[in-house]
Amino acid sequence: MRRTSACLMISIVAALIGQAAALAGPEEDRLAFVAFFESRFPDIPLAEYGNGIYAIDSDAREQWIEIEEFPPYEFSIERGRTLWAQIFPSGKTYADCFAQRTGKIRAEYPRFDESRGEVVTLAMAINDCRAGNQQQLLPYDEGEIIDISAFLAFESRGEKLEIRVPDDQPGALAAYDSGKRFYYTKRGQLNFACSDCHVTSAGQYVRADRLSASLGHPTHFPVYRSKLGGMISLHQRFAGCVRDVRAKPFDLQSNEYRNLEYFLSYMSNGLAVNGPGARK
Amino acid sequence: MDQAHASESGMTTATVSPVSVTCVRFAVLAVLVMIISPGCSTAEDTSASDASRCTKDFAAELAAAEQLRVAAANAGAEWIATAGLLHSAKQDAEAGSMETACALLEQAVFEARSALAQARREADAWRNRVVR
Repeated sequence: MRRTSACLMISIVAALIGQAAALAGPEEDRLAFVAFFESRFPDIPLAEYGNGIYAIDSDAREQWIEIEEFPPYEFSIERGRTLWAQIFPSGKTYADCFAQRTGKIRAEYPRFDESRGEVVTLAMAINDCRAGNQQQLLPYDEGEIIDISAFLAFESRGEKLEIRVPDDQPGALAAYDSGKRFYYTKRGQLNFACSDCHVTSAGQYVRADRLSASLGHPTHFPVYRSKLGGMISLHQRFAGCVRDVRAKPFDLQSNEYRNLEYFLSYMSNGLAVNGPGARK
Repeated sequence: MDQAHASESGMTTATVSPVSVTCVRFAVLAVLVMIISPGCSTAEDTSASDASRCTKDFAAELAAAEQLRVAAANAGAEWIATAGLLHSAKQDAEAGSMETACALLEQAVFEARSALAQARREADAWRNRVVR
């Protein structure tokens, strides 16, 4: 009887601890997230996590350093620079749509827009700017929007991610929590959560490749992917992961992916923007 | 401890035949199987009956399967192949290949039900994975 009661008590306490962790605030989450990876990879300096798998895999890192000597994303930056400078018929430019200086923009996105009640990503803000200047919206999965994002990431290199979940905006916390839930939820035929690969199994091999840590993931997008021969956005990478676990991917810039980006970017707060990047 | 030692130490032992022990073991095993097997039954197990039913009113079964897929999608849990399976099942039925159509429909129903079960499980289970 005593043993049953003790088991019951332990179960209740464990459940309460689990609930408390699930309900912890963004900053508690971030500190725990960072501490986890520091404990898992004690020899890797925190700033290195922005380099993704190349922080962990020394062999792949050597190849990557060589690729970076002639960065395959350079053309995208230059196209983005040209597009950024274009003057709309209204006489305004993209820069007029942003409150921050150009070299700071990337580090402050995604952000929660209280008036709209949703997370606004940088790609969305670029399209909002176009809509405000009576320009056709750009598709999210190719071309100009990725080039502009690459240029802005390049201009923001070295700026530390500074994502805010304001206490006085309950919608922001709800969006953050939604992204957090998405991140830890198993989905698809393979029954995998994002965290299964990029937390629990970070550093382990999946066939010939090692799994990167989630910490620092958003700092280096968009990236040039050698296997695709082109640039991709963070949301395209999300869609790729969801597809890989054999779940149906969501639309790019859907609520699901924007909230996920919000959560993941908050986890990487304090790490420097180092996009665009090059990956296998 | 054997019987001789038990007698020496003053303990009494009942003589139990090996046949009785076997019978008791078998009975316990049978009871366990009866208790556990319903617990192992999941939504997926009903797919066989779906396949046999689908030949009677394929259109209705297809519509019901589509509803399950939509429910899984609304839960944010749709699997990648379900819509394609339903599409192929419809095409095969239209071409008169009912056996293949029913097999595909069966697989689609299995996937949609499994996705819904996964969504129900994950409604709380995700909390246990949060890094703390």
